[in-house]
Amino acid sequence: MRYELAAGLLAAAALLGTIACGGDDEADTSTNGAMTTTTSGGTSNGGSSATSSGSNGGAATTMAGPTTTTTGGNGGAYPTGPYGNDVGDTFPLVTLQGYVSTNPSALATTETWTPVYTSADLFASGADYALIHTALTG
Amino acid sequence: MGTQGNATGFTSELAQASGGIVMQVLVDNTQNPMSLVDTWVGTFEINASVMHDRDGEVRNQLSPNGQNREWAYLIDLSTMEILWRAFGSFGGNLDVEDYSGVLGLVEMCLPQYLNCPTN
Repeated sequence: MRYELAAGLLAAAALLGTIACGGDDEADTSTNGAMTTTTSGGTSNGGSSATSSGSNGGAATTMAGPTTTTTGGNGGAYPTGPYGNDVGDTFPLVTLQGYVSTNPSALATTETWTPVYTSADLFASGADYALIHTALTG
Repeated sequence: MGTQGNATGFTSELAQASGGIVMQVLVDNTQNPMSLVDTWVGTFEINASVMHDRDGEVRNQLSPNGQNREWAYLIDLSTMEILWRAFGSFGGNLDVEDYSGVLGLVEMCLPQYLNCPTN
């Protein structure tokens, strides 16, 4: 069942990949930014508080893994590293804002805007898999 | 259009209905992220989560090979391990379907994810 779900998410990745992005190329050669985040709450839709200090816009920084405390959802603290963006790495802590879909038959904008949503919220969501697709719009 | 489905029959709706999370993250320096996300959702009719890179961390940390676009990551949320990733494109004028779409379909046939035909 989990494999089927993973396969479905991979297919969704392909579909999201069909969405063109309109910005110019923008290579980012910076290394991971230092970040400290504290998150609590076990819901997938908001419910978190986070403070973070990190680079915003490509400043070269020294690699520093996130320091985090997380409760709820899948339980325990956010998994330890090594953090990274390659297969086998632990997904890094990132902070997002936007619409967290709770109704797969409705547009995302029908949801309430979530001002702070982190990787720890994904971890705490209780879901099995997530498909994250990045797009640069400008 | 967008996540509404295609010839494969797979949709983000099905993935979410099965308990998965499908999330698109927009990497942008906009001063009005809500407006950006609203426009994006409306344009592509996205029924999945659509987020904005709030503090620039996605840009910094999810840029394999120095490229911050477009990537797809499949994450096991019990461990937060990245199980699979695929590169889309970094050219705004390229048909990204030729990249992440095809690659994603190929990767789907990895036996640990799906029982694919063995021929």
